[in-house]
Amino acid sequence: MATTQNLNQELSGDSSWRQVVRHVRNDTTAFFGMIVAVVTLSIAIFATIDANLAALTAGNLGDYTLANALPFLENPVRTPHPTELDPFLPPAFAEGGTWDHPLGTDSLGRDYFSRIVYGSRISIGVGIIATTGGMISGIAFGAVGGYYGGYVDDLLMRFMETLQSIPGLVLIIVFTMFVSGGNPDIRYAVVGMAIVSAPTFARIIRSRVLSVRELDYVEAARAAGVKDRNIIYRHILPNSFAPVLVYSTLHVSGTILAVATLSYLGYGAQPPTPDWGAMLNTAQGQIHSHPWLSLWPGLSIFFTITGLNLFGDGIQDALNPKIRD
Amino acid sequence: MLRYTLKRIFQAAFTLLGITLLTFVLLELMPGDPVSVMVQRQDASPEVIESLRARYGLNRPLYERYISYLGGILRGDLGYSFYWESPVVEVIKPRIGPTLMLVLSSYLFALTVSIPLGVLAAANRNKLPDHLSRLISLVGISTPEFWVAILLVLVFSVQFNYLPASSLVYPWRSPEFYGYQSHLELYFQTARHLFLPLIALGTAQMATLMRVERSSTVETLQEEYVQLARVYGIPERRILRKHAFRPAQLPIITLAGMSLSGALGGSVVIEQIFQINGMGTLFLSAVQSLDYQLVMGITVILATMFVVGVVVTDLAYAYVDPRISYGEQS
Repeated sequence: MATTQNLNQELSGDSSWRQVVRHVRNDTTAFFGMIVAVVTLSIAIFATIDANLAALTAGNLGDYTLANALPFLENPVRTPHPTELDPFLPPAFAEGGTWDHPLGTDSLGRDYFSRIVYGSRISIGVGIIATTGGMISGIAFGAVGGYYGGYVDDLLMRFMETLQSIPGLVLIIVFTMFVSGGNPDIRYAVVGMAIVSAPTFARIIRSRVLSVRELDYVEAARAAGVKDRNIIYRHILPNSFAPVLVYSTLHVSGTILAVATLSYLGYGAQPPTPDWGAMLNTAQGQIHSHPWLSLWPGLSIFFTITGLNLFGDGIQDALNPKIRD
Repeated sequence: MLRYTLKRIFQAAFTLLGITLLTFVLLELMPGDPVSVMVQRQDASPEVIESLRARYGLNRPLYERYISYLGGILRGDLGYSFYWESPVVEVIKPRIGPTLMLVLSSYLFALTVSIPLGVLAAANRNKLPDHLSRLISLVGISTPEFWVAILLVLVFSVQFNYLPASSLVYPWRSPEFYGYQSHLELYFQTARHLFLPLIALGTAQMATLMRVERSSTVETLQEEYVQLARVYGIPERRILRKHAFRPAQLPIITLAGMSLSGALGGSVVIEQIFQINGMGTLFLSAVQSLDYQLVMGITVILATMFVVGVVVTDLAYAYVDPRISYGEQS
């Protein structure tokens, strides 16, 4: 039955991307994941880019509310500024909370909801940038190793193995320490994450390149005197790319998780940046008095990762018959 | 088998060589050599500095220094910790036990939960147990370890005030050390203190293992020999127990080795949260104090643990599944 279906798709000239979309739409969990991913992504993109961002991250921000974070939500109610004595406000549904600050306020009286919203921007951005960086460097290593083979390949792969044998988190922190000299920053974490991700991408692309380079058209190109570099760029990479792309969708979630962990440990985003991991770090000190603050950033990470994982799984399932051939 | 064993060990040695090369290069790149750190506070003349450099071999060519660095590691000399003012090995040694205890117990938890649940899910494919196990593994994979830890502390320590949220009790110490009456109480307290950290660290492993266990069992149940057994009328339970279970465990072995890296990295976070005096907390404090040699020492030890773990699981795999080593020979 599956064969007839494939045949039908081939006959109707369906592109593989359309198949993916159809598969994802039929798969309830993957569809749910896609919705979550799209919502998170749009929140990250459309949260107001605001001159007050500096105030959001650093200053006292009692009057920075829901409506400021998401401009399409109207929120005319203004409540008095939280007093300096007790900046904490509980979430709206708890006693003493207001809908002006749906998730309450933190130790500096800043609206927690706005910070969570801005946190999505950092997490998603970091996830995409680090994954892209890892993908590009991994592809470079893997394609060169796979194409040339021999000792070049051996050397590159041993280097990748060495990188992989150090726990990723440890390697990133070591990298940050050496590069920053004791002043960690989210940028170092992103670069470190890209370095740590490279070996897996290299492996995937290499195994594809190994089979693609034996194909007739590559040999034809070589016989025609095309330069190695052009063969890799024009003929081998485009035909080896699909599995890497699939893996990268799953990898974004892993990256977000890892960078949140780094921020939590103090080796990623630094306060007052509204990063979910860094917020959890701060909130942990207030876990006895204000447990809510530890809940929201964690839940945000959880939902984002769940959505991305479900979506990535769906894409992988959809493309699987293509990868296997 | 012997040939395969030797080959794997040789490969592992090569990887370890790569790690020492990496740490050596990083140490070379570090701002200022040990001598300049030593003389920072004293007014040393250039001659004194030069003689100190000669004494520590810092004026020799790079490759000679690498060879002596490598020789030092082989003799168990990982350098000198300027912060603790003692050899790196001595600083690390008491920290290995707690980390291993945490990592291994979290593995035990992950395996004992994931294997039965994974098999149960595979045997009841697309029924309630399957959906339930998928939900559990999805939640486990998507939750950051440190947040699991925070939630556990929130529920069990803050809310119910039953389980302790910090430090460990070590079973290899005497009960009197902690003021306990008997060994039994010591072990009980060990378990009580270890419970939250090991769950926090083991949840992600458990989730990944359960996924693999499920898919591997599903695949095995579709094998031809299993279908033959079904044709013979052997009950499904018996097929699962006698024929499908063991072959389905093969991917788990490999995965257990590979995920050691994640577990060791995760222990850094978990130790920090629960204030366990293991290698993880030592690592973080060494990074904080810019104690480069200690950081590199810990990195080498952690990488070695991982490489050894992978070799052991690879050999176990080859032992269980002879096709692997035969394939290598032909």
